[in-house]
Amino acid sequence: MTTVFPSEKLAVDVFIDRRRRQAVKVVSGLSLGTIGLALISLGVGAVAIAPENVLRVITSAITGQSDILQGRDALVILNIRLPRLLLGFMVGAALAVSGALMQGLFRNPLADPGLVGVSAGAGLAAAVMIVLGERYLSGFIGKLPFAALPLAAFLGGLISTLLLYAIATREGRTSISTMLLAGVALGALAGAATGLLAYISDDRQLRDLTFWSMGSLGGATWTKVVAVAPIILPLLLAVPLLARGLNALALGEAEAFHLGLPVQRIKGMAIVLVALAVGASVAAAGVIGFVGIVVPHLLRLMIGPDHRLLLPLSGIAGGALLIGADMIARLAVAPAELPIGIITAAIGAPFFLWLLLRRALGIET
Amino acid sequence: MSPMVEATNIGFQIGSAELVRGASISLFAGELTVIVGPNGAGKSTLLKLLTGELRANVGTISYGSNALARLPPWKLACQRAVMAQAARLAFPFTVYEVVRLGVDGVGRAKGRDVLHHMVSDALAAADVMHLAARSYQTLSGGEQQRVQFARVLGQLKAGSSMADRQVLFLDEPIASLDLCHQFELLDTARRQAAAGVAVLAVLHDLNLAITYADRLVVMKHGMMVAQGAPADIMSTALLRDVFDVSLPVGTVDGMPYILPQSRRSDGNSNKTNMAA
Repeated sequence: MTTVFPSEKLAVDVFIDRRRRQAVKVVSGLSLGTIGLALISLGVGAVAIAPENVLRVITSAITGQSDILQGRDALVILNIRLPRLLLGFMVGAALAVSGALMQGLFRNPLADPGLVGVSAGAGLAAAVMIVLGERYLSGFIGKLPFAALPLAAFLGGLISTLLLYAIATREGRTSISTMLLAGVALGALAGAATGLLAYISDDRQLRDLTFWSMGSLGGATWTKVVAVAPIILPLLLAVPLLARGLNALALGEAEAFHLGLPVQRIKGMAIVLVALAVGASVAAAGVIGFVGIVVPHLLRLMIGPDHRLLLPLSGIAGGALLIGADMIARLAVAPAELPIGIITAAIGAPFFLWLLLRRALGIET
Repeated sequence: MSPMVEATNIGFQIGSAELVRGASISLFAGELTVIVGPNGAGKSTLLKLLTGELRANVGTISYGSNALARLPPWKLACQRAVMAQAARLAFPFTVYEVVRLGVDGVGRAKGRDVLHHMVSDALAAADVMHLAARSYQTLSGGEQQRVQFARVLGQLKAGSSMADRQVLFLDEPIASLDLCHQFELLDTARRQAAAGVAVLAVLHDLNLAITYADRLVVMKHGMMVAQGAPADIMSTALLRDVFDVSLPVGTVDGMPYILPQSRRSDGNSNKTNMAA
């Protein structure tokens, strides 16, 4: 065969193949890494359990071999660490995915539910429920004990997302500075109101509030997992439906319409999904910041900005990040625990500054 | 022959500002129509009304036998493609991915290889094949414009199997292009028209408008003040009335042209005799 001169058309194919291989690499690496991290996380803590024992407990729990399940290791893993692991993964996934959703919706890579006050809004609503709930809403809560907090947090998240969108978006264009500043203002306002609630709360409520404001997976139980899973899992499954729409939206709202997409419906869906995801995760684990900005950003650097891949992978990576952060939270000052929000902020805030610096220096990301 | 797009007496206002009023325009298959006019004449607004991006306050717009307002977005997207003025991108998509967005929505039912070919053809047609792997955000303004052109070409191609009549809207498509690519883009637009697409473009360069347009639409203050073949309507009086410039209109082989150089030769007078 004669040597074909490498045409430009071939260069496109080579590039696409490379993108695809890179995506496969990231997907498999991420999945394996997450499973590994999960096994380690189940093993470490006040009671150290070897990885092979962790595996044995898990397999026998699945197959129902009861002799091992009576042991101490099994009790620790199945009753304490596994629900905590699952809750952490779901919360991390929800936060990272809602970060990616918001960035697509606002057409801006700096949007994040924590940064722009959505989490604070959800947190405030949760605080209202904690402090005033028993006094004024007991009839309602009595009927729906599990749903009250998530519902309140969802409504809080929804209201702050809508407010933010209304303030920062004019004629389909979102101003980044308006959005961030409005987010700061909304966050401060929600913080002040939460502070006021803390002031009038009693000792037990105050402890609960502190838990909310800094975030923790410490209270994870199977009950909580079961309460949160029906909200977060369908949500994570629904998110890929928005991928095409968000891709087109990156061109601009008018362009997305010209491409044939129902723009208003996509925007509405994205707002509701973000509020649901943030509401559910805040209800389950308090306010945990920066996951939504760090994860999608790193992924975009590795696999590009296509939401069809970005959204599901954000879910996996966000879950993994929170599992890792929770492990640090449990081990750093053992036997005591750090609030996980402190860990994610310690990782995320410098990262965010680095992003701002890159933009200031003119490197668009 | 019935028009592909027909707007009758349409108007659009925001608050008390009437951006377009009493405009009637028909776009025909195989015809390249060019809108010219001074800044703020309502050219882009008229184009946005015709694409469905803005809703006219008064008047009717129909695509074939369908009212524009009744066409769902996806159906509309099969029938028309729109290249807007300079578009910024929110995320670092590559050039290939941007053009791919053009075919993905409309061509959803088609196979991956078919779409890939459509993208490759569009990249080649807009002379951006060599940029395919580059991030759109790192391109120059002119290169970005060519990528957007490739994207709308891709959308037309993807939609062509679903619509027997198609319209291409171009809003100042050559504003940032070098001379060579200005010609290439307009040549491609002409070829689209020759293939049966109705093309509507907003242009500022009157000489190019005259050269490429089958029909010229002249707008001022939101109204259409003249419409017809370039040779029939382009005149010194029109330039003065619409654009406020005194320039003689010459002709070569029956085609009008305008030379700004004549302003220099005799101090802004409109009495210059042009040697044709």
